[in-house]
Amino acid sequence: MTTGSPNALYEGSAIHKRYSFDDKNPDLRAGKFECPPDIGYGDAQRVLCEGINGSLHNGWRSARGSSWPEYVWGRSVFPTRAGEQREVTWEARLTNAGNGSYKAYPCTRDRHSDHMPSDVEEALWPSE
Amino acid sequence: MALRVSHEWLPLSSEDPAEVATWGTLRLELDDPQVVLTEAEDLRAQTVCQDVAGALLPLADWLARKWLLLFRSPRICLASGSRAERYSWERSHCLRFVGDGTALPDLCFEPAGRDAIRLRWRSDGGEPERPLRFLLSSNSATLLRGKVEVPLAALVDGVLARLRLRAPGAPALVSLDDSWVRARSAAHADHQPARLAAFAGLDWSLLEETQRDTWRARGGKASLLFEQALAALPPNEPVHADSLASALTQAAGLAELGTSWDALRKRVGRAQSGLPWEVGWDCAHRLRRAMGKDHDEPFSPPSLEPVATSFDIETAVAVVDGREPVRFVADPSKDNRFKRARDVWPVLFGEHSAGTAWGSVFSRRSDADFSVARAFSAELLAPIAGIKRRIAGAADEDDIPWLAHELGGAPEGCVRHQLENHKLLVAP
Repeated sequence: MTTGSPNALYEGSAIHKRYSFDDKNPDLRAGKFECPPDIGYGDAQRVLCEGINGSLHNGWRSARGSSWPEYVWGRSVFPTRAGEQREVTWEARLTNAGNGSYKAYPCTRDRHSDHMPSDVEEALWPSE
Repeated sequence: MALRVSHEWLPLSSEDPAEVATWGTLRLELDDPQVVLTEAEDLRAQTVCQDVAGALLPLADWLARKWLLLFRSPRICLASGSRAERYSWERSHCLRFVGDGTALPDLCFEPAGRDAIRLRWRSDGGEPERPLRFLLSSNSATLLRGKVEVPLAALVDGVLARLRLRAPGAPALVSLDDSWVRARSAAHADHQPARLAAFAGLDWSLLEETQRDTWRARGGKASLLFEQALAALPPNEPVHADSLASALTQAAGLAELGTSWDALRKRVGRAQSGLPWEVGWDCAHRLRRAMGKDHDEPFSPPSLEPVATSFDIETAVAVVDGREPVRFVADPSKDNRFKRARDVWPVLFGEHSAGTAWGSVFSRRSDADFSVARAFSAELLAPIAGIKRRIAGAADEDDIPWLAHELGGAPEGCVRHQLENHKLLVAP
């Protein structure tokens, strides 16, 4: 994405959540990574919108895709419902190529999409 | 023993039609003895389940894109490799890199020779964000390749059929279909380039378009040699990069010299400095001594007869850190004994170090090296000592055919060059 490009959006996915949001009922599935329930949706949306666009700018994205990349990764600090700060490493996946909407969920060094380039992997989890 | 892959479609409420169409349960298990690879503890419900639920599209997409790496590339993950190398391999062979935030068992598909696949799984320590913890203890099983390939192909086919039926307009259908046809059909324009890239450990779907163009250019010259090398690999053993390079070497017809190239390089020693042709002659003498050959008889190393004809293979070998020399000739019809002998020189005396990728394309070398190698070749095929023994002090043009015959059919050009360079050629 270049300067002047429209911003990517974050839109939550019910299958990664155990709480209601945006008039959607939770539909957390057992096999899915769970969005931390102690982070409110509004805060998640604000931080992830900023994080996804920042990562697009930094190149922490997959190569695949002609407009919006299919995957974006990042690490952000979220305010929790209890007023604390929580750092989460996340993977965002494109859900609407028309408007650049992404869903996101936590990821780890051992579990993320194979689309993650090795330099992003190294940047997120530097060698000890 | 076989892998069993079973799935069942389930309803889902979602705005993503492809996700809705391919939502279901998945069970992976081995038979005889039975091992349910997807058995897991649901940490929230505190129950044990045999299946995992999720959209099967990401898994099918991953399988289709990785197919050539999983089933048509003998590369295994070397513990000694760099982190980037290990990551590159793991993300193409381990289910935990399917993505989409779906929990799948930590199962890796490891090539185990030409006809076998080793399934290796690790116990699961669990993660706080993932409500499933897989119950398997670390272990592995080796299966015939077909026993893994067939059920996984059926899964991809099933997901494709489901998408065509339920989400025919989904972009994911086009993408998956293209990946699948490319992986499985030689008729796909990018099948061969993708195979070559996979052989080098690269996932076509992760390459930039410019990189793909490079492989397309190479893939246009699909090589029988490539197939021969794969066929020569041991059927039921893991293949390390060294074995792979060796198989390619063998397939190229570079039969062993009775010793390894590394050992032979040590025996011939380093080339001395001097005028190019003098260095070339000295190198030829060193090789003769190392091989126990008479100093005055023509010597055409049998190892250099057949050649690889495709630059695809050269690149593949280089990327797969090949450590054995393979000779490449763009146009076999223009190949000859002189060139074959000439190309031994960089293999034995060229500047390189252990582990350096090989290649002996002379256009990359300096003119000085080229002159040395030509002199080296001439001295091997038409040794000046042998010429001198057969002539009375000097020779003229009319003697050249006869000398070439006497020297075992040495190229007449070599004989002429030798006579000229040693100032033994006189006007008739």
